[in-house]
Amino acid sequence: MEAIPKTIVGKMKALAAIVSIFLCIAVQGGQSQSQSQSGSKFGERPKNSIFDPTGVLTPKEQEQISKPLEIILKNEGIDIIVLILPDIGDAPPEHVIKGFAEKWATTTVNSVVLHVPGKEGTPWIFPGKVMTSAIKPDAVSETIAAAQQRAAAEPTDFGKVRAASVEAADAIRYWLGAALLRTEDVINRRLKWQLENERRGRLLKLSAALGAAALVPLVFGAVFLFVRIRARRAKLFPPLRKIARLGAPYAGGNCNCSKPIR
Amino acid sequence: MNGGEREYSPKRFAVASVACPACHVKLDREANWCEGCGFTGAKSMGMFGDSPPPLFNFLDVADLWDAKGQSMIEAEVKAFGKRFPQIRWKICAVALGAGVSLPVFGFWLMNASSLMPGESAEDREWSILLLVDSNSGRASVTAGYRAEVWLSDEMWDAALEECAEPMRAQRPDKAVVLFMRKAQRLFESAWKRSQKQLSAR
Repeated sequence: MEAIPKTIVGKMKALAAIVSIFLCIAVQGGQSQSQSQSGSKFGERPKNSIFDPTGVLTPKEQEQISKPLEIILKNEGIDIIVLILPDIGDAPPEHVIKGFAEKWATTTVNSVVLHVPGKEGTPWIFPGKVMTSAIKPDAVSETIAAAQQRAAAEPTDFGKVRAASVEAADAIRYWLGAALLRTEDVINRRLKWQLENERRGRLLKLSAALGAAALVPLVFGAVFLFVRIRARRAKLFPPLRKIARLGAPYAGGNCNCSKPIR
Repeated sequence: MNGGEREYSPKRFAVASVACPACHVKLDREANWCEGCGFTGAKSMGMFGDSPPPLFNFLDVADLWDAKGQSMIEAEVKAFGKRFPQIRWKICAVALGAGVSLPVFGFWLMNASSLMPGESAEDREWSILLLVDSNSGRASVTAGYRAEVWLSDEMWDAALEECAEPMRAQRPDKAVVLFMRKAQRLFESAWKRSQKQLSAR
């Protein structure tokens, strides 16, 4: 070391500083690019629904995944977005992909698959808001956990992503059916309830009308009976003082009526 | 009647004045004889004797009503008695000789006949005698002192009018029934009138 002249050491230090500066710039540039791609700026949604800025999957692999997703979207309206990000830091996966889902999802029935190669727990599946609000949260997390577990068991990144996207689509299909059935059931129940209510209302009105109709003659009958009973009760004239005339003890013979009756 | 119950003067409720049964002259309610003809109760005794027949509730000396007719009349009397328990009816058919005044005969019968068993003087005073003379084809009404107040001669005439048609149709039982029904209606009105008079005090 002593043989190395000071000038060379100085030049090496300067070179190292320049390299480190470049490296810093490169790293910062990469970071900023990564940030812009991973959520702060979403940009355009990829045509194949797979956002893989670092090229974890080959185009062929991407096609194998995106083709079925396109068909599902077209035929069933289920939108599956696949995100493959190199790193998400300490950010919770659902926070990272929430923005993507809000910006890129084309239907309300959607699901996002997030894969961060090498990160524990990857891949993640997040069903859209509509699904999470329509299905019981317990059922959602149970199904998703199982699906994530199966996808995570795949050995390759391609296998994980494909399995997760298929699982996400299947889960939504299942939920959609269940949700539709549930909705139908709810509608049926509501309809039945409404019909029952209307039937009860009609019955109530009919009963009220019949009751009133029955009450009218009853009231009239009661009044009639009351009047009849009142009219039929014994009627007493006020007691009178006897005033006798013509020396007769019981009758004064006042009535002069003597009618020819034949 | 209860001893403590107030008795009203007949004048308070009387709808008509009183008259002599013999000459029909208007009399004072407390007159001892008729100022027109001098008629008194004693004179009637002289006319018809002092041994009148017992005054049954139903007396058919003239054999005017058959058994069915009699029961019809008795049923009507009973119904009337339920409505006006104070009023007692005496229904009599007689065959009087020519020239006998029916009202005077009724007057005599009402006063000279002894009270029946169970009948009080007040009962007799509340009695009304319907007298039918089969010979003359006339009918008359004689009311006791307490019963005479409520109806006027005109009202009794109207009631007797009811007899004419069925009598002509040889239905003497129906004649009495219709008469009593009319009388009942008249007493209904009289009773209402009396209640109004009482409440108007």
